[in-house]
Amino acid sequence: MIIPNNILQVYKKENVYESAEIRRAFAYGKGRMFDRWIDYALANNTTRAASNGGATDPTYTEGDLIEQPAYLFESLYRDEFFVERDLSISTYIGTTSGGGLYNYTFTVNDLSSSIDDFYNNAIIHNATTGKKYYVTGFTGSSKTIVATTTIQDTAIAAGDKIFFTNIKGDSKLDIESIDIVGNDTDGLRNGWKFNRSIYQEEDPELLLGNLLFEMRCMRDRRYDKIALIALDEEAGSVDTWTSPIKQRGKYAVSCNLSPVNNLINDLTVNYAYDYGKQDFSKKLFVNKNGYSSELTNGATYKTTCKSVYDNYHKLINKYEYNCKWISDDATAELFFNHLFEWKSKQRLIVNWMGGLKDYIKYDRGDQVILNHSRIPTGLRNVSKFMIQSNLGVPIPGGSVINFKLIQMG
Amino acid sequence: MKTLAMTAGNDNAAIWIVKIFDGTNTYRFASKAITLSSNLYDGDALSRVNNQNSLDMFGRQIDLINDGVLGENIQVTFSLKNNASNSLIDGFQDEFYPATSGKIIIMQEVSIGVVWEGATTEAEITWLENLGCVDFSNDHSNIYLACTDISDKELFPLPYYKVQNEYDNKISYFPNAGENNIGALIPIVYGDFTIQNRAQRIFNLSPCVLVDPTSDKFIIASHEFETTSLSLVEASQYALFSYLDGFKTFIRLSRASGTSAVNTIVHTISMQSTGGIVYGDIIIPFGSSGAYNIKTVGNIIDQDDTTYLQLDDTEETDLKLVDFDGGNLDLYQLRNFDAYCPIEITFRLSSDNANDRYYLINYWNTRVGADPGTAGGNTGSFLLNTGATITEYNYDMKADNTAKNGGLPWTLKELSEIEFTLQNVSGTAGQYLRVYGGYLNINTIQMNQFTTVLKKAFLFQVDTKGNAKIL
Repeated sequence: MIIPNNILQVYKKENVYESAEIRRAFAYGKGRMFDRWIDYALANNTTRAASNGGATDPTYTEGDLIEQPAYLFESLYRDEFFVERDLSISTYIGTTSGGGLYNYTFTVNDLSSSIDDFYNNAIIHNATTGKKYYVTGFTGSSKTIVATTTIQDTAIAAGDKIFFTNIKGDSKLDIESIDIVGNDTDGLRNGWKFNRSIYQEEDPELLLGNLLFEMRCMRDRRYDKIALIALDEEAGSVDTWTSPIKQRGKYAVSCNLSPVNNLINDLTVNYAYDYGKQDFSKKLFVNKNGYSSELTNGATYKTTCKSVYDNYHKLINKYEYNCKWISDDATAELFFNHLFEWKSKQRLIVNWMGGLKDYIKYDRGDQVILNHSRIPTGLRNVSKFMIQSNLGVPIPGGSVINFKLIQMG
Repeated sequence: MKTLAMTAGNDNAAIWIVKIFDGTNTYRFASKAITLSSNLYDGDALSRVNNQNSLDMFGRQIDLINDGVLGENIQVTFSLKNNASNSLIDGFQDEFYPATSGKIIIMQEVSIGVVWEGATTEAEITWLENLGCVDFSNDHSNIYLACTDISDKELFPLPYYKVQNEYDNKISYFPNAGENNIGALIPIVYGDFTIQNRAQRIFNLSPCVLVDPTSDKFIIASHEFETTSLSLVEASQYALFSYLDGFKTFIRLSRASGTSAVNTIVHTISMQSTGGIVYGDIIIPFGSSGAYNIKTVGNIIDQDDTTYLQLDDTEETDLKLVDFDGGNLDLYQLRNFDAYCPIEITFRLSSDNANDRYYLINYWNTRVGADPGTAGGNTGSFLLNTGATITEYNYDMKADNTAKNGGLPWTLKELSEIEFTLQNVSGTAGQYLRVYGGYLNINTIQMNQFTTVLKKAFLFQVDTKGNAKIL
């Protein structure tokens, strides 16, 4: 019964779909792409090939998937570390065009540097418009940026949220050393494929350390550049050292072996991390009793494990490693092989003291042959040794450098 | 190996160079006075200790023996005379105290190099170290500067971005994110996450963060994804998976009208539009032999296309699913409001040559009827006409209650207990069927909860004369 003058509310039935409440979701796809730096370099404003010394030029281009570990290393620096974030365009001054290029001029008051041209060749990402520009000029006193692009951004305006990547990337990285390792023709790690989601907080040195360990390389700082060096025996010719200096009439050279504790004959590598079940899906192993069927060198390695056991008084040293970056089967085997061959024998460690003039040119990571009576006969003038330390003392009239070298091969 | 800027002769001594740049002034010191490119390197400013340069060391080390790969930071100290006749550093300790009006030396660039007597240009300096001053102290006669590698200061923990709802930076700002996900790190993703083998339960998928529950929107990365992979994602409508602990596998999610990806600056995927339903499909592989199986099933349950079980005419194999706990997949999610969820018994098959074969896929329920049980309702024979090519064939048992206790739909518990069968019914001995793998594929599982609500439509009032008026 409807009572006059009363206000009535009419309802209707409606079907409502509530959220699926998918609490733990995982995506299918391919991750970060190369940015312009892979085929562009600051040094002479032309292609990377002209700036990477004697290294073979990689054929990767902007937009390709980054999965080669050497370029993963480079991308972490250029795209994640050499950055300034959470910025905005303070004043938009204007756009000019010509020759197929658009040039934008604007100020960014929050930039940290006031040095002219400091940001040249950096990449500006406009998060508001979704466009990218490349810095061609910077006036430090007014924080004025001049940036260019081939794709016009008609929406650029003051207040746009922006961030910079690849700040001084070309001058801080030793591109030649990275291309020697990573180029897709004859690179030392050509064919290696890495993948990883960095979804939990990682200490940067730990992050880089894991990456370098799994690509069997080391990082070296050479003056103001970061270099990447593979822990491989040099394939080509190297210098020969013959004359260490003398101290108190005796040659300053001595040898010892890498510790027995570092020698392994039971290796397990877990890889293909499943982020859902939070465990590894695959593994490779070898010991004196057996090996994974996937290992091409399994039988040989098994024999090596047995030899270590026999020769070192029934020694069993186990080493198990969990890969953070490797899911690919072929890459896992390459990593396994390199790691096993590195750790399954004691290596000669040589301390060698040299004078400044003749030895100052040698860097960590360089390899030489040692021809001196103090070096065991089987290795003398034959084996290659990598420099892992070159600490020097600047003594007036007689500076010396103390090298520590490790046997390769 | 370095290329030396200058080749040392036989009789020229090394001169050590220290250059400091504080952003405004350049300080040039040397172990012995030298003018290079018209710039005087003061040979009287660096202190000497025990008749040696105060510059204590150069070079670095990496402990390769103990798996060091990063190299150790160098620590270099040197000292300047407190009373050196150099206007730039006269009264050094008064110039560079940590006060707002003093100059700043901390974190400024310190370069160390070597040149040989006879050099005339700065280009002949071989630079060895590029450091930063991190501390200074002084006594009555010297200022001591401690320098180390400050390039590490550019490094910081990753990922950088966290889900937040306070400041719209167009990257990490998600005002609808749930409380649990505020502060969640937005991943950085490298490499290929498209490789998987669902039957072998090998997955390589990238974790996401839910940033908008109202649309099942997830952020995958704080950068763009490789664009060619998007076509795989969007064309097949499969972009996201959810991990089911009880099944120890992933359920693949889809939406009837497809997923939508945003791949500009960041990479996000949304599953749901207004009224949209998110569906899931799951593959549960066969994991063991059935109770009455007489065949060895190892070459089937390895789900490896390089191995197979060969069945002759009339031979049959029976398999059970891997163990699973379906507890966290609620029953309502199995309810499809148009029809029951397809439950496809799937086998990967080929003939042993290019000729046709006939097969029968069915199920066997040991808990229905007298021992040993009752077969399902799929009868007859079906043609395998793809010859030696491995192809999937299936039987959808969703509506088959021939050997079921109670009415449809099937429950996960029932499915976990029954056996799935494949028989070669080609009719002639010697006509072999090869079985490479198999699984149960349950799809169109509704992942949303459906509820009926009453919503306000309108208000109306009836006056004393019986006229209705919508307010």
